Amino acid sequence: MLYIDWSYLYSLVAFVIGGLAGFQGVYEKYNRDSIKASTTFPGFFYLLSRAAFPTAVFAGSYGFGLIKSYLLLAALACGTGAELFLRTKVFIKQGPTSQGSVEDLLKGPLDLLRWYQNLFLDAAASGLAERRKNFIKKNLPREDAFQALHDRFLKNMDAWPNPAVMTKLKVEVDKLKTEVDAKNVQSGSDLDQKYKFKLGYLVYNEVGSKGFKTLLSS
Amino acid sequence: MSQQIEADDVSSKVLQSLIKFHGAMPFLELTSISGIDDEQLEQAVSELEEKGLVRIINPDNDLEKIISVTGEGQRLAQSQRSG
Repeated sequence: MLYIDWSYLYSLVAFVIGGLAGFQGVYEKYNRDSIKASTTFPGFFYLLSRAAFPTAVFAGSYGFGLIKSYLLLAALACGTGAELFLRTKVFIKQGPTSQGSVEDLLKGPLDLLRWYQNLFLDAAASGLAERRKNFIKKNLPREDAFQALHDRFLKNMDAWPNPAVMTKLKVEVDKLKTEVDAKNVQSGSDLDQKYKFKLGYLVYNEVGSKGFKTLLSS
Repeated sequence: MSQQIEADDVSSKVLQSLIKFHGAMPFLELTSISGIDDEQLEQAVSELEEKGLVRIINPDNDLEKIISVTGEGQRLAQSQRSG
């Protein structure tokens, strides 16, 4: 008969603590885009691996009989303890700096953690850029040339609730229009396509995805 | 000399824009946000790539091209910002 040891569920506590500590690193880099960054493949993998470390410590300790009682407390201790361990640095030696002063040389798991964090969170940035690019590609009306898109923007901008934002955006859009006219860009050409994308990015970065659809979608 | 300074200014602006967007941007987003002319930007990006400060993903298609700053590029941008 299959026996399930439900005490392993306490490892969820360590999992949450590890995940939250990992998310703090994501937040430091991405601020208001933290959730989006966490949903990219590298961001999600990073969070999962950070959560898995204290979970494995708890599950291993319990499985090998090192922890037998006070399981909730032990799970909390594994979560915070693993995090404390990952953030430690050990004094190695003192050495001179290039400015002539003396500096402590510290090394430890924190260096490894920073390297690991940068590895995945930098990759998440490319994922976010890819996502923005795909959004623009998917939502820019294919059939319209830059001129038509520009006209639609002018027609819809008055409906936007914040006139200050629209005034600022219109200045940038007008600059693009001036460039397109100066270069005599032919409708439907590759260059026209590029300017459509540029207009799309301008609008997206100022008013977000919903605003983009309101202002530019047909 | 002044041309060198201008080129460095463009490179510096590119790095700062990338950092503002967490380290990676589609090429056309970079041109629209930074306000740098396409050809000038293209030249600056390839110089930065040669120096190992940025990486270019899908380099042959401007609509698909993504510019991503390397660790070395991040360090340089941060030192420019604090300096």
